[in-house]
Amino acid sequence: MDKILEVQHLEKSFGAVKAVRDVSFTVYRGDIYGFLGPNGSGKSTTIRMVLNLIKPDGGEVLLFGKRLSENRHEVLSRIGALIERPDFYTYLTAYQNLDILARYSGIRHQREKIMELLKIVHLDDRAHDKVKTFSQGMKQRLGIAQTLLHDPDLIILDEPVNGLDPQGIKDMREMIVKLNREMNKTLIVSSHILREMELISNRMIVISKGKVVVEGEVRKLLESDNQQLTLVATDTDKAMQLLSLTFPNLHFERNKLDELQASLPTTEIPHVNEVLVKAGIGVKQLITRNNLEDFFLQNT
Amino acid sequence: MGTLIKLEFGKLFRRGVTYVGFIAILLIVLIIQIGMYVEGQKLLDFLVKSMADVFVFEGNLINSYSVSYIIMNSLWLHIPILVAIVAGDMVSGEAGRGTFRLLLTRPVSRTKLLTAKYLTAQAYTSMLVVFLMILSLGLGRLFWEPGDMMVLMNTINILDMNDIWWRFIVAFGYGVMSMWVVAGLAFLFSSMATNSLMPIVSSMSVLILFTILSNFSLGIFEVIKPFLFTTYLSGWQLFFDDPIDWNLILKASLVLIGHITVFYLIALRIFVKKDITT
Repeated sequence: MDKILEVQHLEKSFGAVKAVRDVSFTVYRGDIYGFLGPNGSGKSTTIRMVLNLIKPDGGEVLLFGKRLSENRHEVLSRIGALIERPDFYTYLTAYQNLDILARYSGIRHQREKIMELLKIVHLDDRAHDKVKTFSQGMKQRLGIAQTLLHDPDLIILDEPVNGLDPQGIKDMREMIVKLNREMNKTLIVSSHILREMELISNRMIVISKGKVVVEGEVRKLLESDNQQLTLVATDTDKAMQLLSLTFPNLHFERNKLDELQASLPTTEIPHVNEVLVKAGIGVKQLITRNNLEDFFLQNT
Repeated sequence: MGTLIKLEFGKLFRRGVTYVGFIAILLIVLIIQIGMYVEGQKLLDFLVKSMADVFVFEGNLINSYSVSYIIMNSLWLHIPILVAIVAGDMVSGEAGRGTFRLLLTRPVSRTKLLTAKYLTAQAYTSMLVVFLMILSLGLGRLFWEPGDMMVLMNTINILDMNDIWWRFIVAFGYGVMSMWVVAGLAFLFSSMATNSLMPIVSSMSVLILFTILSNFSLGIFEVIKPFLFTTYLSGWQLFFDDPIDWNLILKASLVLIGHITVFYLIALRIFVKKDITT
């Protein structure tokens, strides 16, 4: 597969704080690559290093097979990015903002292109309104439009659904999928919301405290063999005793909510239910989560 | 580079704050001119009171030239503040508003971007001083006729009206250069900051501190005085001396140009290495 981005052993500290530690990953052409992590995990710092906004202390970034440090101009002309908040010149109109940004990218005679992009993000009727009159969702959409000005191969969106209402989140999700499927763009989308990434990305990386926790195909990561089980029984004491005897290899714990919890293979879950029911113990609730979800519930 | 400068100008002149400087200069000039028109004679009588026994003054010493000379003194403080407001916002404003994230993810060189911003700030500074010149010399003609001008420096210089206008042109030219230093200083602070207030306050603080040092005539301060740009900010007055000390003007110009260059180079180094975290 064609490698679009290779990040190798990136390191970055701010004073005594190590923000990114030995982060490596690869993005392939056609990916919607989810970049997941709790707030403050080092996502934005890593993305900023990929875009040369922040200089790494160590490691290397290769974009389209070329070193970013030596080919900044060339590789950035093939990338569109929206980093955190979509901050524009609020005293200018949507059209004027895109016009200025296009010129910074070395694109001229771009009127038709700008109007076409504003149409794609459903802002064509607001093209000549000042950005200060725009809602957060509209600014995000304008942010997407500016990433497409120079028809890039790779689009990087950092927390694109932040601050959006549910409809805005849905629109953004659809927009990302459309960019990938209809416009053949490779995307890196960062988020601290696992559910969002599950819905749109095919591959993802999870980082926490600046380190890679897991990386791979979303389907495989979510179909992990081990599940975290939470069970509510009609008689917790009896259930605890019975399950500990029946499954000596599993470690059941009782939490403060009087629930039983254990980490177990997916195949064992029906047996746990069966044993309890046969013993006359009612199962009021049985919840399973994969380990990735569990990690996120603990860390976000 | 031309495109980048055009873009910077486009952004600059679409902002309301850009015009504050021009409006403030219009007000400064009008206030001084109206004040001099109404109360100027009293002020002049007071100034020449001690000399009246020795000299005989004929004609009108308050004329468009002498009032323009008084207006030029605003280059001390008023114009630097106006210059710092815009130059101090050139880099820090983009950082504070978050628009650097948009600009610097584009295929644009940081060196070229900062240079375009620096040149734009200096061009704006030039416009302010030229505007001051046009208003002070032009509007002054509505109130007074031109005439001979008396300048009190180390001696009393009486300059013939036909020997003055060119002095104003070169003095304002020097004024542009001295304001470039102030703009350069504000720009340097701007390259370090993420809000516009810090560069304005810092550059004004340095200006005031250095001006005090420049005016101290004590031991160690005498040693550093020749190297402080503030020592030469009022160098435009040298053009109203007779004879003009061209060597001193050349020395002053070199010190100012040195500061303009050094401020730019430091700002460039900071900006090129800067992590964009806002």
